[in-house]
Amino acid sequence: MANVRLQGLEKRFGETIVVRQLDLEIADREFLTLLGPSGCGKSTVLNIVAGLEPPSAGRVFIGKRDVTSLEPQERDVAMVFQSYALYPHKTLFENIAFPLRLRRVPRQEIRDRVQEVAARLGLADLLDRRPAAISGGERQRVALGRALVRRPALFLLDEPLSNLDARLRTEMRGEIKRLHAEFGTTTLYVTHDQVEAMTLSDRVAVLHEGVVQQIASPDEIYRSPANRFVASFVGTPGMNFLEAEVEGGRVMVGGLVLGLTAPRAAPSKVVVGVRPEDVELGSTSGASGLVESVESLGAETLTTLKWDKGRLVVRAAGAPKARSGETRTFRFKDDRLLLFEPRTGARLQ
Amino acid sequence: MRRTTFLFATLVGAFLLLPPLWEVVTSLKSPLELGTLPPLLPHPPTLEPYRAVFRGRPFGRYIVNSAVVAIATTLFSLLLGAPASYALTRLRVRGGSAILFGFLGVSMIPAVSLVGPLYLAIRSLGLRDTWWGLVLADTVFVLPLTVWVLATFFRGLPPDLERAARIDGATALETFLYVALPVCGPAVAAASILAFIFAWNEFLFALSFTSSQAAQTVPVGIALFPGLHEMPWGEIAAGSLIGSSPVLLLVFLFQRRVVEGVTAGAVKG
Amino acid sequence: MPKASSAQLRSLLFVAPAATLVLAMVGLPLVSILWMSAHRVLPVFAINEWVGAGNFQHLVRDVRFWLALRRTFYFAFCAVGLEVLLGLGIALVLSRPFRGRGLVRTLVLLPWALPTVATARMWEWIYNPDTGLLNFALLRLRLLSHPVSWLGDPFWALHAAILADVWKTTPFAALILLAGLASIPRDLENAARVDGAGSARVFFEVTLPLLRPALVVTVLFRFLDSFRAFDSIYVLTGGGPANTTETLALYTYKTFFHSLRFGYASTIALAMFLAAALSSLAIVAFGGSQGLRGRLR
Repeated sequence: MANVRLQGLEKRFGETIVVRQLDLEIADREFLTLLGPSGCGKSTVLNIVAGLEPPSAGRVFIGKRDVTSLEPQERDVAMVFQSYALYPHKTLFENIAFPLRLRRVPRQEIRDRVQEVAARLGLADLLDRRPAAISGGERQRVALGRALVRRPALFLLDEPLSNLDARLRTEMRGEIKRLHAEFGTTTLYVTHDQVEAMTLSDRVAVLHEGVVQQIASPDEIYRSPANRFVASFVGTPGMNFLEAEVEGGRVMVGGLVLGLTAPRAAPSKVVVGVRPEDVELGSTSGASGLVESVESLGAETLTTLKWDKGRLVVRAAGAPKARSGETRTFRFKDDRLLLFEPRTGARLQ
Repeated sequence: MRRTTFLFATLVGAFLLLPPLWEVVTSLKSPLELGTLPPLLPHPPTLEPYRAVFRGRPFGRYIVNSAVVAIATTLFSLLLGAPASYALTRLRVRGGSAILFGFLGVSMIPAVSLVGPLYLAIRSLGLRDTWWGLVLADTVFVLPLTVWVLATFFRGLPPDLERAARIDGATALETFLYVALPVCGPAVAAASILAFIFAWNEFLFALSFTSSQAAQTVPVGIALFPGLHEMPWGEIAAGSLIGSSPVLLLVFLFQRRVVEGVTAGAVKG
Repeated sequence: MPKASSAQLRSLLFVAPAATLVLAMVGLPLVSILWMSAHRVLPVFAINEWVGAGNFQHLVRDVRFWLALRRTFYFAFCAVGLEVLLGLGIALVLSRPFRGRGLVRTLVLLPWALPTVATARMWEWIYNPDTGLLNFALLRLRLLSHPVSWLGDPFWALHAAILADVWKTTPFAALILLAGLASIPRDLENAARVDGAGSARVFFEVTLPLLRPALVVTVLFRFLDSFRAFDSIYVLTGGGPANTTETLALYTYKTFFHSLRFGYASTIALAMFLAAALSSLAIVAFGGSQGLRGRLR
């Protein structure tokens, strides 16, 4: 168990800067997720923390130790790879036992610890098999087991669920959360899936093109995103964005006055963000629009509205209350509206 | 660790590069300078050995013979091997994989074991000391290579391409000619280059089936440089370099294709 | 006729020319070898008489044959061993990207591309006792006190031939092993490093086992090529001095084309073919199936 500190991390590949000035602290026992689209540098950061790649600048601290120049084997970290990276020529038992064998743990203790972990992950009967002979979900659990058995100071997980089908993904998400609650190991998790980030993490660090956009709890990321990128990346379906004007402290979209006051320093043109669940259909007042499409998901309905200011996606619980082609009025929940500066995307508050 | 790698790389590099470099140096020395060592380098370098190669022996004819045989072998090996390879991998032929492994088995037979009866056959066909005798023998022995290299690439052809062609109305032959071959262009190139190199460098058959400049090829020419006493090493070096230049050029220009071909024939197989 | 079998027929047409040619030009000679080995055949004198097992009995007692056989195996083992070791080293060096890697790879490929006859001549010149580069260098480095006749010494000649063969064919081994290395997912080596393995451990526990199929292929093909090597020994020593570099290939060839005894030569050829076949099976059995099993789905 240890805390982790990344100080001024930078990584350059030739001319391209993949990670810029990254400062991050993970508290002991915390589960922190690096969230971002593909190519944003999150896997690179993980590789640097693991010791698989050296940073171009900056330092990595695990616990009190500066591990920046240490090899992976000296860092006391365990990693779960996106591809699982199970040794195809070894049995599951040998796969999980491998790190212990390298550390010259006595044979009996290896056997006990491997069986304990295998039992915990439901793999006890499969230990003689080879990776090719088990399912994808089972392979994922073996990868987890290989990391767990070491009881390291730090867990690193690189998009471990992305190769699983939707149902297994949900199942394993829960399993990872339970494991973290049980073992309490400090964890750095990397993913592009914001559902995973939101459900698993104590805090989320959103990354875009190598730069940290915001580090906060999932809730705060959702409700108070630092900028337009974070606002649009987190939440499905994505946030609606509208162009608006500010005049004398009032915010107007077209002719519609919105029920929130603009901050004093607001520019004349702003972008208003509103989440699909914060748009109410069938209100008595407000604007009106044409229903373009209705998607019924069972427990909720997504309605796409077209009005003279663009398109809006509306989310409401329950069965559909409108049909395509009909006109509906709608209003916004004013206290949930967010304002963004149009050029930089920064949130105005 | 990095230092041992560097040391290893330097030693191996020297081992691989010094002999041919020495050969080039040798080819620029006059016969007098060849008689003693040191000095290492020629003072001054001379192109005389290169001219001497062609004097007193039909080296130019050897080159022509090699060129004809190599080109013809390449063409025939493709003509016969490409359709066979395609059919065995993409068209369901009964016993297809057995035939493929049959080709592999043939490639493992030592040619020298068969050179006797092959000689008798070539002679009875009246092909002794002709281009066609060599083309025949070389084509047969390079076919397994051609078939296997192409097979590896044909196997990687997405089945959807052929299905699309079928729906568009193409016959198997048309699919082969207008879809498979063009898409596998690099493979065909790789197979051709390998076949050419094989035929150009081939020695045993060239030695056994020819007896005069009518069909003798460059390797035979290099091997037959005269000499019990006065071996004209400068000429031999020059001749070797001239004789190797086509294949060297091919490898240099198309090294990626060559590498693809060599590894396809072996690793995937 | 049902559609399926006319399609079959048409597919066979694709294969027929190649298959027939190979069958004729390889199969028939094979049969011919079998036939001739039971006869005493001297084409020059048009002699062709049945001797049954006579040639084989002679073969069993032929010391020259057994020496050649042993020599051929020795040659092949040494050559393949060195080539695989060197080739693996080269492949490992080339497997990590570095500046100029493409150029190095081309240069490594050159020895393989050259005609064997040319490389043999090249080495013959290097091995020259008076004016050869090898003696010059070794004398200069004081590793030798007087020049050695590399190709004229019964002990050294075979080893000189082995070195020449290794020089020419290591690139091939390196290429195959390089491809094999490339097919090992990078993540596996990373996982081993994170699990705590140092470079040596990673190599022996992860890289090498997964390289096994490529190694088997390399050893098999290289063994067969070395076993039947003809060109370079013919040019370097012609089998001499005093037959001390005579491999089975040379012996077969000489019996065919110098002594012109086609019947007995066929017997030797057959023995060589069998030795090659059995060795191949042994190599595949020893290295193959285990490696394959680990990779089967």
